[in-house]
Amino acid sequence: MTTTILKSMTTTPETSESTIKLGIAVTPEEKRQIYHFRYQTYIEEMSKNITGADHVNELLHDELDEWALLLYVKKNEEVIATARVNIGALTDFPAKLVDILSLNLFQRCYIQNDNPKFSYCAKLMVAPPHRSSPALYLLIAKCYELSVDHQVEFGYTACNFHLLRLYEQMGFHRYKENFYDSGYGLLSPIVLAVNDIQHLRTVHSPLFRAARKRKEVNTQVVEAFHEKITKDSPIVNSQIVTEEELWFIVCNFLQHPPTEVITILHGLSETEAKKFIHSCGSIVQCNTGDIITNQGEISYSYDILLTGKLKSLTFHHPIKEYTISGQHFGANGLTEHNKHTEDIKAVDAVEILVLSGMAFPRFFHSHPDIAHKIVRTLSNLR
Amino acid sequence: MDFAHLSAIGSLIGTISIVFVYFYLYALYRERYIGVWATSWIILLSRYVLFDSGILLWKQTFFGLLIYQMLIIISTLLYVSGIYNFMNKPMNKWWLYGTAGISILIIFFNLLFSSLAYKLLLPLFYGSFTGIWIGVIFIRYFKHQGLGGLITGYAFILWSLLSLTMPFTITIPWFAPWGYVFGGILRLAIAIGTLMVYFVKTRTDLITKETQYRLLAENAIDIIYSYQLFPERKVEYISPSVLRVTGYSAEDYYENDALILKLIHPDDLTLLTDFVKNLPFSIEVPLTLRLILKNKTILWVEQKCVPIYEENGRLTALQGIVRDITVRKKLEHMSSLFDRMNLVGSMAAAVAHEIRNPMTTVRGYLQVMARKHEYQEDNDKFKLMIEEIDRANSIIREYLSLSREKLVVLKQCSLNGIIEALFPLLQADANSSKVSIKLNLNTITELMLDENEIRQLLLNLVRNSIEAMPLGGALTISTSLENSKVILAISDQGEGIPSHVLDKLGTPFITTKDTGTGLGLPICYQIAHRHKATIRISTSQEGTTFFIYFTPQIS
Repeated sequence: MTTTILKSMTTTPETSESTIKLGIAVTPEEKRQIYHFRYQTYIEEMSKNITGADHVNELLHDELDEWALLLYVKKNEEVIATARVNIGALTDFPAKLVDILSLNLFQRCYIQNDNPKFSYCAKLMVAPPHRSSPALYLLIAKCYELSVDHQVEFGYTACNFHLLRLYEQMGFHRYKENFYDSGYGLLSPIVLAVNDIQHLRTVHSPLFRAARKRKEVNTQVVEAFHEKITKDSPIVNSQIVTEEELWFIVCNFLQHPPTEVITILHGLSETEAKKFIHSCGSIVQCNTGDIITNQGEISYSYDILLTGKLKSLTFHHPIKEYTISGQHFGANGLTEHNKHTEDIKAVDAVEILVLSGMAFPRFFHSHPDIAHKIVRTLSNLR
Repeated sequence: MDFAHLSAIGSLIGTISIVFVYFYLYALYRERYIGVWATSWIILLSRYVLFDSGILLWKQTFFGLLIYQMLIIISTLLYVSGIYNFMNKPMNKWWLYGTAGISILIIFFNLLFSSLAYKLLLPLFYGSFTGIWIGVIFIRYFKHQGLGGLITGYAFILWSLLSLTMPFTITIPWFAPWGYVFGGILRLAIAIGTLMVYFVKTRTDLITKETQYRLLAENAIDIIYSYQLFPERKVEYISPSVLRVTGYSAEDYYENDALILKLIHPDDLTLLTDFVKNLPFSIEVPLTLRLILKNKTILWVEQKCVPIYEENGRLTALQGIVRDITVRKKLEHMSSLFDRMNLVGSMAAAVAHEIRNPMTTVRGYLQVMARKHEYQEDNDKFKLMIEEIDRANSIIREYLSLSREKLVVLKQCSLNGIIEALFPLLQADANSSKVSIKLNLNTITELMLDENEIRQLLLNLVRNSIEAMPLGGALTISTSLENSKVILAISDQGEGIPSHVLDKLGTPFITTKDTGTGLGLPICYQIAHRHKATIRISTSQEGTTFFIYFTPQIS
């Protein structure tokens, strides 16, 4: 299926970093470089225990790679970012993935096409020194372009909670419960409605740059998607919710002013706390039995329990539970990159506030005074 | 020489002097429109010198006449282009299209008519009507630039009207000399008027720019200053923002040249002294220092400056900016907090190197002594000591791995075997603390393990347990199989882990011991994670047990 697309080549996008080059891997050597880059990122940097990793050759690949488009970004001949895109009909994807992503659910959005194509983007990663470079945008934009070229209406991926804000800013929607992928942790499936240009504009997605140039876009499927999937969803999209709305939601969960019950907000005024939560936070629902933190893995967020009950699996005795709304759990991944020391599981359905360590650097550049207070509070908590 | 020749020569001299003035101004200020006007005037002059004077017999030949006509067209178009440039506007492209069209018509007329008057009609009309347009522009657009605009405007209109009569008066013998005289006077008026407009406009522009720069300096957030070094050192200028930044007004600095020195933090005075001593080379790097403000708070500032030299090369002043960088310094401090882990890792690397050197010496002496005859009975002890030094070396390497992820070298081996091999050492350690160690090793499956790492894990956990029983007690190491998982358990009879410590257990650099590094348990977590094992804890007042759950892997 993909052979026709695999003619692709390398393009040098117009960017200030002129040595940055986006391409699609064709040769076995290029593919090997990508698999090795994945290994370096997931195993060596992020300490993930991934089943099937080739530790001898330091490679990471799976069966989806066999028919995927493997995108890479190189700088001075060194791979600095990669992504994988699979484009195909429902029957092309493994049944497990179809189930996890609920692809059948989306079949209902199509009125005319009974065998639509879907795209699934995974293994998207950027080397740490280049996480502020245009590399991520180049990959996402290419994925978008490929989806448009193949008349794909829905593009899927899944991400850890600390990345939800980033993807929601790209234009993705959360639409169903999380799933656990061994080695990768608890993931949230997300979907991008490719033809929803209005949404890309609303969330100020960088993809809007490319989307706005498109002409005669049919939005029938997009309308059906909103009608059947997002309309009554309780999910709070971090890019659509306003500062006041988010504050109101958090207050409702906590039943107390957040500045009183959330330790990290101590010392902040209400205005400062609102700004911080709105700039770094996402509200996430987890189901009973979800393992939210994994011992030994690096934390990239600062997690706060809003409602429900959590239990640490690490402590047999005394039993350690998290039951107080506003209580922090897990390692601090907001201002430092600590490793989780506990496996923490949701005892019942819980709502948590995830303060992303990925969003915090930008926040502390835009609001250094507030960020300084937060860092000081966290330092005192140590 | 008759009156006609004299008037023509007078007109010529007037035009030449104008050309010189324009070229002089262009050489001086390099303004494009002055250059364009000068070129326009020189083309006009060449027409007078070469054609009107009769040096070239242009009226008789087709190309001679065409060149004459084109000189009128080009000089006029150039002047128009200069006008647009002077007004900072792009030239309307219809001027080019119109001029090209008229040029084609001129060629057509030259072929069609035999009379010179008809042939000159188009270029003269073009030049004259353009001249009237230029005159109107000067009167309308430059009326605020003083008398120059009006003089130029009206002179252009009159000169254009005079030129319009040329085809009809050129053959009237008595009028031609007067035509040259009036034409010359009007051209002189145009040139002088244009110069007046230019000077007034330049002055206005300078005043506007000066106002802009003054406003910029006065409203700048940064402090802008000029400090005179010679003949005496004093503050020449300092922007008003200095009041907001330091609490002292600009006047305070003018009155007291030493005020700036008083503000500098005592610890940073040497930085300023070095800066002054090494002038002008020191200005290449921004000077960062602290100021103690009027309200006694401390402010971080960074100053950058440029040196001002006299013509003889002597440094006379420094001009520059002073910027408040307190927020940036705070951010740097925050960043340093974030990087603490990496920093400690780097420090550990340096310290590790220092520790390894004396250990190598000790190891060498042990090897030498082990060969001596009188120590042969203690050969086993020497062997153990050397092995332990080797292991200490490998432990140091593992400590370094905290700052950088490391991959384990997994081999299929017996966990019980590792424990048994390590037992004498663990026992020796425990005995000195009045702790007894019991082994309860059951039959378990072999595991994929990194032997060195598991030894380190055992050592760390056992030492923690020993230290948890300062008055002595029993320590149990057991292995068992449960739900296809291999469990290693290390139990002590200490007082248990306090609840406030439980929350931070395993966090690097958190320790309850006076001499602890806070790295022991984090390393255990890391080792367990690398082996896809999980640590579970059970603690009470009767003691603490650490369980490590291994999932058997296929080789």
